[in-house]
Amino acid sequence: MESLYILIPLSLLLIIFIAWILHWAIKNDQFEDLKGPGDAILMDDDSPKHQ
Amino acid sequence: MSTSQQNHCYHCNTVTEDDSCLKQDLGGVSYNFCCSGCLAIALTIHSEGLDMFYARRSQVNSKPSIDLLNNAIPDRLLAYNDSSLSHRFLRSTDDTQLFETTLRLEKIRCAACVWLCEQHLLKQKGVKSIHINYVTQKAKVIFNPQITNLAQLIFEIERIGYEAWPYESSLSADNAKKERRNLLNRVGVAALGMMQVMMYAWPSYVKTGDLTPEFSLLLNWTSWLLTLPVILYSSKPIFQSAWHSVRFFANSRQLNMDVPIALALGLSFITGTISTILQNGPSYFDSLTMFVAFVLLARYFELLARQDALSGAEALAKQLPAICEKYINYSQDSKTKSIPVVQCQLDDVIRVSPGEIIPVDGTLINSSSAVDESLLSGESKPINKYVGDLVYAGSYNQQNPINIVVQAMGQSTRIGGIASLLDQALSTKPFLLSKSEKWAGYFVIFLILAALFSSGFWLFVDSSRAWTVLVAVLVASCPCALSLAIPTALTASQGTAAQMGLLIVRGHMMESLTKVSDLILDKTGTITLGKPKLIEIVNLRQDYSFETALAVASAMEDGQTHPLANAILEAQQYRNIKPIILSNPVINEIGKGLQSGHFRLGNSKFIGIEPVAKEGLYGQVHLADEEGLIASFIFLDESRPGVNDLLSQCSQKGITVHLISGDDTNTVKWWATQYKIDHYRGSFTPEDKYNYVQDLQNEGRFVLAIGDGINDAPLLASANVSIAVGSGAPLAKAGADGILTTYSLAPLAKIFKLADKTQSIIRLNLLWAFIYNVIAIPVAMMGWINPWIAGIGMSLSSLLVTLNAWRLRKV
Repeated sequence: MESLYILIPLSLLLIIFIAWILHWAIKNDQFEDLKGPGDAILMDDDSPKHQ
Repeated sequence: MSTSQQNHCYHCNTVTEDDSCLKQDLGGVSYNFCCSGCLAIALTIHSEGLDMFYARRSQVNSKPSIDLLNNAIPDRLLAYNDSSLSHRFLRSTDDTQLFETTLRLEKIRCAACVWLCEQHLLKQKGVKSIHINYVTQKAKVIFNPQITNLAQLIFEIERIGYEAWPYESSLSADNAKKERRNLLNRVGVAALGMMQVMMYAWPSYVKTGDLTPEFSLLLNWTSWLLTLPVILYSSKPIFQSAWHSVRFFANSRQLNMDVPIALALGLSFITGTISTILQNGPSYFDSLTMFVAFVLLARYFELLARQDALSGAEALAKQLPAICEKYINYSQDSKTKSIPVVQCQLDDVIRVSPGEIIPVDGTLINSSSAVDESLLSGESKPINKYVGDLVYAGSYNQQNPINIVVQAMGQSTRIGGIASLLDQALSTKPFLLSKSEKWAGYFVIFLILAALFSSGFWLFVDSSRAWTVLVAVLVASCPCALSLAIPTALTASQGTAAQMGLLIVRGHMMESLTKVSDLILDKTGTITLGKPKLIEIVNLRQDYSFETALAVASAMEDGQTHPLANAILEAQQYRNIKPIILSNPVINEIGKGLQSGHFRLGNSKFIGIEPVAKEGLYGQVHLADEEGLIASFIFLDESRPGVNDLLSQCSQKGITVHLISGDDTNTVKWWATQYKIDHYRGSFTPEDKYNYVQDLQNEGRFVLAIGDGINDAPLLASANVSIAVGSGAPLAKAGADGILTTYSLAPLAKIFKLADKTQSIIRLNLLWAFIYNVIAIPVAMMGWINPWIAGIGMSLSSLLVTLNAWRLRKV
């Protein structure tokens, strides 16, 4: 149980890190278009190039 | 390939007769095309190897409206390269060579359209990168102005069948984005705090024997640390708005919903902190953070919907062209220059080509033309304008190039006046606090009173438990299920409505639809398309047949832009009749008709006969030669599909239907009898429509309005609930609560059913939250609450409410 003394501060650091990632993502327009990119990945032409 | 007589255009799916369609071989397969425009688009797409677009698109494209045959950039676009405009549309980037611009796209309908636009633009020289936002339909393009330019980019988008305008970001748009991000950040912090605090609360719920006091202390203080940002940062707007409401209570005499919420949050955080310091009971930080996260999430969705709604002034800017052709020195020569409309001065002379939108109010000088004012007035037929007549911004010039002396610009135009009437209607529109929201408000107040009362009671009986009971009542009652009951149901039904083709702009729509007592329909553009169709040819002379008469008429109308001319040409193309070759040039006598040699085509006065007596017509045109009348062409307005579905649904629900229009009373009457509508009014101005709704509302009726034109905007804004028909004017959309994107009106009948179902699910959700609380609150008041059971009960009730709302995904 003594491991909690390390694990809990670690989890706090982790949550700060995640909050920072979230902030970064919002700042970089990651939440501006929630529909397009999901479809866009299906539109990628990955059939082998002929010619 | 299909071998039937009828073939569908490969690009736009228009049906063409087998012989008349164009055939083209693309990659070894022969395809049919209805017109050269569609063919040009398909060739462009094929030449770049983007054929996959046709396999992947989920909706067919519309017929291109712009002539794409010559590869040159049209003049109307070249004006965008003017250096006086570059500071408005271009932004510099980190790389000094490159500039960034935002384009607003139109006609984007599916993910394949986005893909096609991106791929096509990326293949252009000088384009560095492009990113299209599917939701806002805006494209951010980074390009090198040395190699390509704004006009070229817009032209390339038109070449593949879409339309684009440069978008000028306004201060209000920037602020809206900031507000959105700000709230999302707060939601994120609250959600992270909620998840983490719940994890720390878990050991105290399961009560394993291992949890010694020092670990319990550690967990409690960590929870407190994580709740701190949720209270100080995430809930800040709630506290601010509550404080604002309390401060101005003396003036406003009412408190908003944030006051009880802020009170509950503040109280439970303070008591939680005290019990953490004294180590004498549960702190309930998990419930607290969860409550904040859900409240903010609901507000975020509300904000998104609210920001989608345009203001009248913003829509006005979209409605009018940004550029006009001004004579540099009208009295001396005919040199023109494209300038931004904002730089126009009073008494400037500008030129408007046929097929263009008139950008200002002004008087005609030196030539006459026919002008389509249907969006402004609802009048379905083009109006002849002669020298000295006033033409209005926002109407279409249809026949001749005209010169206009500028009389009014921007806000002071007729259309600007309609826009301000719209804004006025929107601002005075009563804020519809839904019944369920009111309920929730009363519930929170009741909750606070109950908590204070029970804690007061315990103060006398056992003062050590007063605090605990106070918090237990506030938190163990299920604020989550209650705060989720309405937003989850609304979000789910909005998604379903969008799939059916109705975009909901203002959130009250679903609740309001269930209360509608009267439906007001606009005629032109709503139940009819405002587009004439040749229905029959009468008075046919012996020596002519249906086909030969049409062949002569279409030869004369070739190249004319009048709607009746289009209808004749459409009928000729549909029946695949070859126009005759005229030996004499066609002379256009404005407002009367056309003449070519001895052939004359025009209205009854021009030919010198009595008009065909028939009601409800869009119009009639007569063909004659030196021997007299050859034939009379009869036109009827085309009706929008699905009107009958909507009307039968209305009669089922006992809704009174009104048909009102700016068109003349006889035509409106004819359409009303056609659809068996008892209440109809014609020749209505936008102000008349606005008053008509007000009168109905004063009688206590609940009005739904459906319309499409600029003249409908005040009507749509003042009605209790309103829907704009998709292809309509941006101003009409700004006034409406919802936008119908489908061509047919039939989905609206289904939307009515969806609205009823949404209401019943919201009621069910609230009922569940109520029953849960009726049981939970007395238990908490008695001080019997067990945090472990409260936790499970709360999660389950929230889950139940969400799953119940999920049922609205399918109808």
